[in-house]
Amino acid sequence: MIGTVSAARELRGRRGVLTSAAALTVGLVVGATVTFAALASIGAVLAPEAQWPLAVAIVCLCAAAADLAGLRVRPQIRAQVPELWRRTLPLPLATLLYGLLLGTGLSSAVPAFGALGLMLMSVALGSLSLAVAVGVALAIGRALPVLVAVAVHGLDQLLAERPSPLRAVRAIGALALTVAASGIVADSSSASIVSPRATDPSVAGTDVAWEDPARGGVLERGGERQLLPGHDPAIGGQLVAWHRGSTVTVAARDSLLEVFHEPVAGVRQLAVSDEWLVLRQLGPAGRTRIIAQSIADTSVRNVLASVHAPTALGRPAISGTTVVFSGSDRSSSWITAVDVTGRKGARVRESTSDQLIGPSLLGTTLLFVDNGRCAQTLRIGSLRGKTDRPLLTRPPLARADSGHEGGHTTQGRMTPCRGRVAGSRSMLWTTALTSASAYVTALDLQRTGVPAPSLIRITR
Amino acid sequence: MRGSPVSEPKLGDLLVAASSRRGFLARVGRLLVSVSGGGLVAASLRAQKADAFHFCGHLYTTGSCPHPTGLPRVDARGFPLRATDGSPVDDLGRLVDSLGRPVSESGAILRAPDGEPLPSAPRTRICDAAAERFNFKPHVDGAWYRCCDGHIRKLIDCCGFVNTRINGDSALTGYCYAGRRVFCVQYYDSKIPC
Repeated sequence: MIGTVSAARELRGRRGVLTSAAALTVGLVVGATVTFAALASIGAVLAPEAQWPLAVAIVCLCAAAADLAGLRVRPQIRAQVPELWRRTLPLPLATLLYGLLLGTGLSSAVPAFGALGLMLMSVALGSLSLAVAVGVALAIGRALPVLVAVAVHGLDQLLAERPSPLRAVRAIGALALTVAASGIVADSSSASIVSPRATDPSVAGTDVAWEDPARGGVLERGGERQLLPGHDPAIGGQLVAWHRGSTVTVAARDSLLEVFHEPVAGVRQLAVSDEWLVLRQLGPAGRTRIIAQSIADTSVRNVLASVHAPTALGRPAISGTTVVFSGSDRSSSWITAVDVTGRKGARVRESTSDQLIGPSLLGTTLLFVDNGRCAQTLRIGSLRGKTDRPLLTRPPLARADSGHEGGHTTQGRMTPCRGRVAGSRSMLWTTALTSASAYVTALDLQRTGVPAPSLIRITR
Repeated sequence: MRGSPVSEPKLGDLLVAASSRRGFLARVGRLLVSVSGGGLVAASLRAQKADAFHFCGHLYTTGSCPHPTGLPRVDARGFPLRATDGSPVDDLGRLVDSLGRPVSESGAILRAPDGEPLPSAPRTRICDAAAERFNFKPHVDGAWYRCCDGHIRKLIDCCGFVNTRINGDSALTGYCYAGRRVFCVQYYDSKIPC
């Protein structure tokens, strides 16, 4: 390829070289982007199990070790790019097409095991933006040696005779892959994806239920998943509840035999225990209510909270006779714990700067999301306590500027967080808690319209 | 100049000084000093205009009030705006609409998976937020105005009964009244051209 691009110098001079080099680079970037985006799309469709990224990360570590050892890359695709093109097509067009082919990484010799590892990783992670970033980086990495060799006369011959610089590049790539794969292994040891399309988790014993936005309620029991005949499922004690439109159904958790059903206009998320059903209900004029209803006597209904917009109340959770839910208005955000009778209640967490959402409760242990300016944190602590322990930390939701205007000094600037902050498109959302694990929904806000949720499990 | 201990030089003395070798050297020395000194002054003036303060129109060295996105741009009521485009942001730095609901860059309301708008986060006046964080009662007293990027910019001191400013050293009186001092600074960009 170096010879092809260099040939442009003899045919069309310096300008010809630049055109051909640019065409090659564009081709590489486009080819790699399309390839890696396709791989990520396959991953998204396959929706691989939570263990896939861990397994592929281990494969990547092995690939990196092989690259560090300088082992011969196997398997290799021996097909070459069509040599005829450089003789029959205009050189810039030929180099563009060569770039497109080489950018796929599948049409010629692969120079490192790491490239294969990255392809597997793109499938396993199923993230389009990440895969595109990897593809672009890989393409630029492939283009740079060619461009440098074209610019420096005789370098290609020198590299052919003394390949140690290329070996060094391969080793640097291997080290970078080691760092990335190690990060995935470390992250997987504590956090794993339960389902890439799930929100609003609910747990009881070893059962887990969630809402699949495309299909409805899902109940996972003993590794088997079954669809429930409704939305926003909640499990607790021996019961499961869901709603279909405005009809709420409570059923036995093991057999799904109905206990009772009733109409509740504007019903949204639910929580259930053996004795109580808790409903979040949207009413007219922006009203939100949290209602506790006795399972034994469904005529007993206690309104635990009622607010009007812009004040809002979040999804409820129940443990024993204590209900927790989040609330927010324009000046503060809080988590309320209240007895099912509605008589004894208090704000157990409150902030005038952070957003506190998605609480869940197990006995007296509270799990919730603290969206702060500099981090999103999944926190666990005592219901009535003051201090919480972080279980999972993610980047904040918004980026920050430099704190000073262009052409002005940095003296006196105040940035909201230490270092440069890049906003995350992933927002921690609703939670569930067992004695061994914590569950949290992560919303992908990158898409327009309704976000794509995924459910993450973290070892406590 | 009655009673002056030093007599004024006579014209003859001046002529002698001007024409003597010592006088010539003295004049050259003064010229060099004035040239180098003037250069220093000019340099410092240039520095004041471009580099001395961290945003346009700011006087002296008091730091910015803590702001969700960095530069302390606020609306007319003191709530935070993103400096780059003047869009309102909440305390998390997210773009929000007039009701405080988080929105995308295109202005679409961000929604939860069930289609409801995502919940609002607090949105606090940045002087109030600074006061709560650093434990003083906030006051917005005076302001001054400068022309920045073709529009009038109002520069506002966040004042309090404080001895120490946000920088960590002694607070100044600035545009604060009744014994209050400047804790930090913020600005409001008007639409008035200048």
